[in-house]
Parts: sequence; structure tokens; C-alpha cells
Amino acid sequence: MRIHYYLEIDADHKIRCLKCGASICDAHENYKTHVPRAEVMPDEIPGKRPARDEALTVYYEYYCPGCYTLLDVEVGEKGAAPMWDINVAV
Amino acid sequence: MSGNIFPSWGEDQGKDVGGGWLPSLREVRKYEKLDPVEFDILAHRLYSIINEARQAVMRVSGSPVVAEGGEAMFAVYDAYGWTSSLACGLLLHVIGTEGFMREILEVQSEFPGIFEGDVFMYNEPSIGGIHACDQWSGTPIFHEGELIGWLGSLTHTAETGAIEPGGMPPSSRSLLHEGYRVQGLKLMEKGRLNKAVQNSVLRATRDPAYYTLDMRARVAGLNVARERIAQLISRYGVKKIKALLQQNMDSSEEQARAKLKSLADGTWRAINFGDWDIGPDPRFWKVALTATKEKDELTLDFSGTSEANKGPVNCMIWGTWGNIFVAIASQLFWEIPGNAGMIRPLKLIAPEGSLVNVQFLSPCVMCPPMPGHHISNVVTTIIAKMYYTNKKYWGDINAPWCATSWVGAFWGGMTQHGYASAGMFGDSWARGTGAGIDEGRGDGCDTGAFQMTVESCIPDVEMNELMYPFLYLWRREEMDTAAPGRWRGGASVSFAVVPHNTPSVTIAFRGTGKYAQQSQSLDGAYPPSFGRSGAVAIVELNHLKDEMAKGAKPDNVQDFKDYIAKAGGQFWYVNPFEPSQPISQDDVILSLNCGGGGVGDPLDREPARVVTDLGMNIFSMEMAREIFGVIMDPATGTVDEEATRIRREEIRARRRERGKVWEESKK
Repeated sequence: MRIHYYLEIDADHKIRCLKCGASICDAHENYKTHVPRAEVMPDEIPGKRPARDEALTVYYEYYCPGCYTLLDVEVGEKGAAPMWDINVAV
Repeated sequence: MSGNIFPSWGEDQGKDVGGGWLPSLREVRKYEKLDPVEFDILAHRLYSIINEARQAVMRVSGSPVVAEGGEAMFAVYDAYGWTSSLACGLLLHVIGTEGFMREILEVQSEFPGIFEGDVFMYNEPSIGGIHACDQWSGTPIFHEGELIGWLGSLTHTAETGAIEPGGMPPSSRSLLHEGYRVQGLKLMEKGRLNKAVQNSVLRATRDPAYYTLDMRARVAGLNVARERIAQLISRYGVKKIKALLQQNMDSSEEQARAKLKSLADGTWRAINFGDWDIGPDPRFWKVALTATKEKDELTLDFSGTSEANKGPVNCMIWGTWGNIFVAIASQLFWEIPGNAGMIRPLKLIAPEGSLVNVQFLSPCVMCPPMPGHHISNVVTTIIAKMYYTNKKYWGDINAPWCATSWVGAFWGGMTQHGYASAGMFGDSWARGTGAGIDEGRGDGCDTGAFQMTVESCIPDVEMNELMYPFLYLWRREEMDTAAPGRWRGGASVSFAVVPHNTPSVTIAFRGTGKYAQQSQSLDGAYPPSFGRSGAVAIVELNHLKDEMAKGAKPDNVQDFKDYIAKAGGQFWYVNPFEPSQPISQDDVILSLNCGGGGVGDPLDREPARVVTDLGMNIFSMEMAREIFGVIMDPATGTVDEEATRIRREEIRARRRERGKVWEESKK
């Protein structure tokens, strides 16, 4: 079952990357705690965005551990734990 | 909607409302089902009637917001005020208006009574509607001594006599600061205008002309629909029309439950942030949603949302329902006729005292844009995520739309025609929509729409220049506002205006996004930005009008800087909310909007599409290189394939270098 642009839950109830097939975690887990994440300041991206010296939020980039496709850019408070945004019952 | 004790006389009792008999709620809900063909014919006929009535409202009103922008809603309700069919001008308002009829029935049916030809008026956000600008007029439909339904018409009437001009005062600290609030007065009694009621509002506003036009426009719409419904009853009989009002809702509920059932069960979360309350420093706040879908029901739980703001960035419960309905009606149940039936499978948890459910007398005049857009955005996000679980709906997946504006929105003063007026710039409705995915709509639509009013247009520049004391320096799709992704968001508008031919005028600002990112994307796309025109500002350019008379036409921030270096002047950067302040004819008001959200990793976007975006000024060369990893050969204007391949590898290598799994990153 597809659950995301790049992710699906496979027959073994694992969350898997649709691009490279990398197995990430069990379906009942938060995939974001199992993949590389980078903290990025909004003003690293072109366009008028909150400046780093006064920004109240940062961008958390999450990557597929296999192909390093950008899976999500989560807006959050500095130091925030990964948000469990997808928890599909299987 | 849960939690209401309505009607107070019980579901099994009818009531004499003065002008006729209101059957019991149980009786009203009991009906003989129309056969599918007849139901379809009558449902479409009713829908045409209320659309015609909405058009009448827009044609009679002279307000740019209503006549040009389409901020007008029309609906038909059953005898107890549940929405049966709606003409979507503003999705936001529909469900929120039901409270008005409930209060009329509760407090006026015994005295002074409800009669044929009565037109009631409300703009009270604690009872229904969203904020004081949203002005509703409604009239009962009687047939042979029985109350069988209601008609309702709503306009955004900008000026409300609040503590600042223009209807949405950033300085509000109480609902009492937000202007007149009419609570069910009869504008018309048994078909005749009550001039005392009309005057009580006319004398409470800075802009009696637009108020009168909007009021008469709403009554005109009600008249059109009343006449058409009488014709419908005479042709098909009242029994069928009463059945139609109920079957519309039951049919939508049935379709909504079936659609929910076809999606996987689960829990999804989304958060949107805001950054300003009353100043002078930012206040960080959030709208948090946990959505749980189980079988054919969806619970929307806003626990974790910040406490109410002290200023007007809050929603009362009807405002929150209205903003939820925006996303539900346009994204989840877009193919289902919109009415009260489609929200029956929804359960709302909105903690009291939070900014999605503030207490009576709390200020809430900014509710539609803030936190209203936040509410619509988090609901849109969870719907997109739910849709992935059933292939049938992949074509409907839609990233969040533009949620962020930061604009000089509200003005007040003397017009160039010599009368006092006030209003709102509707240009910000030209925002980028969210992207879809491969199987669906792909890129978002540039300056496509405002999610809360998907049928909206923006007033012509010429119309605003005619009606308002301002000239435009520009209004354009702003570069780099669209969210960069595999599928990009739509670009949004920026605009700059100069006061013109007015002895005195003020401007007030509204917005968010200076300190906290609000608008978001989906599944690997970056959030949208405010573009490249710099910060929102009032720019004083010495002797600007003299220079414009000689042909000067500054059309970007660099021009402003060059001008200031040559002739003098200064930038005044503004905060997200700045109260009304006087401006001169040498001042430029610069306003920005974020674009729509995107979907997917920008490195997956075909380079040729990025080059097309460059040609359309949607993205800058900097965005193409840094985020899409696309290098264009300047000589040919085509993709440099090898340089692009290398650049994209560099970006991936940087990801490998920076990325740390959460547990490791805590060490």
C-alpha cells in the first residue's frame, strides 16, 4: 500500500522506498526516526524566508537512506523530534 | 455538529413561529425518498437557483470585494437551518452560518415572531459566521402556513466601524473593538424595509455607500431565490421540495461515508506555525492537527494547538468549522454536493481557550486568514496523505495551497471622488495552488485561487484604481514564490500601490511568515517563499509623484534603492501586523504572498521543465542551480546536461554529508 509519494508498506509490513527499494522500518513505526535528517536554515533556500538570526522555525530534511531522495521537508521548532505524521493501520 | 442543545423544545415537538408552523425536527427529517432521476433533476434545479441568486448578489453590489472578487455566498437551508445546497463563493462561510437560524428560532419565534418576508441580519462571530465583516441576511420560506426552509446570503462587507478602518483592525484586543455586530435584527419586516434598523448600521460605519449596496445586494439575491423556489414548489409540489432539502444532505452524507470507508484507517498529523500576536516582539504559535480515520468517520483533533492570542489572530468555533469545511469541501469531498450532510461523519475536538476555539468577546477578526489558513492547510495536508492509500484517489492528491500573505491590506480615508470610504485590497486572492502528483494535476496553478473561495477572481487593477484612492506600480506573478519540488506549487502575486489624489489615507497590514515558516509542501518539496521583491515595506520616495508625471515607473526594489540613492527617501520595513498609519502620496506600499506547496524532491524534476519555469520567470537562476541542480547553457537557453548531472551529484553528496539518523544526532 502506498502511503507517500516515495514510500509504501510492502507485503512484509515494512515501509520501503519506492525509488530504490530500501527497507526503512516496520509499518507501525515513525519512518522519520529511521532515516537521515538534516537541519537546514530557511534562508539557505532562495526566496524571501525567515532570516537565520531571527527565524523561529527551521527546515528538517529527511532522506531515503538508500538513494538520498528528499522524502520530506518538515517545518519545525529548533531541536524538535521528528513528527510522526503517517501511521497507517495495517 | 456535536454538542448543541437544539432545538431546546425537543426533537419531537413542533412550534408556532408566528408566521406559521414549524414541524418537529423528527418530522422534518422524515421524508419519502425521491427516485434517483427526479432527485438529480431537482437537486440540480435547486443548485441553479441558488447560483442565480448569488449572481444577483454580485451584480447588485458595487463593492470590488463582492462584485469583482466574488466574496459572496448563497445557500438554502432546511427548516431548522441545516445547509442543504450552497452556491460556493466562499466555502468558508457556509457551515458557519447555520447558527444564525438556530438563534432566530430559539429567541424570536415566540416574539416578535418569524414571518413571510422577514429578512434577518447577523454578523456576530460567536453565533455563526467568521468575523464581523461577514454579513449574513436570511429569510424564512413559508408554504401554506408551514416553515419549510431558509434562504441565506452573505457578503464580505469590508468596513464595520471598528477601531481602525477597513474592517479587520490589527489593533483589536476584544470582539468589542471589531465594529458593529448585528444580532438577528429584522432588516425587513413582512417584506418592508425597517429604516431604523438600516440606519443603526449606516451610522456605525465609515462607508455607508458600500454597506447599503451590499445589504441591498443580499436582499436582491433572497428575492430572486424566493421567487424561483415558489415556482419550483408550484411545479413539483411542496412535499417533494421538502424531501429534496433532506435528501440532499442524506445523499452527501452517504457518499462521504462511503469515500472515507474506501481509505485505509490510520492517524496522520500536520502542524502550521504563526509568528505574531500583538508585538512588539514575535509570538510563536501553532495549529496542530491529529486526524484519525476509522471506518467511515474522521476525527479532527486540534489538541496541542497554542492558547489564544491576545490580538485578533483567533477563531471562534464557527470560524474553525468554516475553515475545516474549506478543505473538506474542496479536497476530500470535492465531488460530493456541498452541504451539512458531508460533515456528519466528522468529529471535531477543539480545546476551549485555544486559538481555534476562543471564548466569547475574544478578538477574532483575522480568523479567515489567520489562523484560518493554518486550519485549512493542516486539514488539506492530512487529506493528501490519506489519499495515497487508495490508488483511485491519486489524481486528487494536492499539496497545501498558499497559506501566507503579508500585505498592506486595509485602507481608510477620503477617496479621489471626495467621500470617506474604506476597504480591502483583494489582490491577495491571486495565490498559487498546491501541486498534485504524476497521476493528477502535476504543477500547481499560478495565481490560481484562494482556497477558501475557489471561484474567486481578483478585482481588475483599473477597478481598484477607479474605486480606491490608489495607483498601482505593479501587480505580477512573483518569482520564486512557488514551492520548488518534483511538482512545483503555483506562483503568487505581489503588488505595489501608491496613494493618489487623496488628502488623507491610512493603511494597515496583516500577515505572518516573517519569523516562522507558515506555508508548507508535501513529500520532499521545499516550502514556498515570499519571492524576490524584498520585505514588505512602506517605501518613501521623495517627490515620487513629480517623477511619475515625468514618466518614471519604478517596478522593483532595486529601482527603489536607485531612486532613493538619487533623490532621497527611505524604507520602513513593517512587521506582520502594523496598525493603521497615515501614508503620503510619496509612499509605495509593497505587499507579498507566498506561493502554493509542491510535491516531491526538486532533484526529480525534469531539467527541461525547470528551463521552462525560468523562461516564465517562475524561478530564478539561483533557484534552478541551488535547489533543482539544473544548469542552463546561457548561449542556447537549453539544459547543460553534463553540468546538471554534476550539480545534482553535488547536492546528493551534501545530503549524505549532513544527514544524521535521529538517535545518532542526539548523541
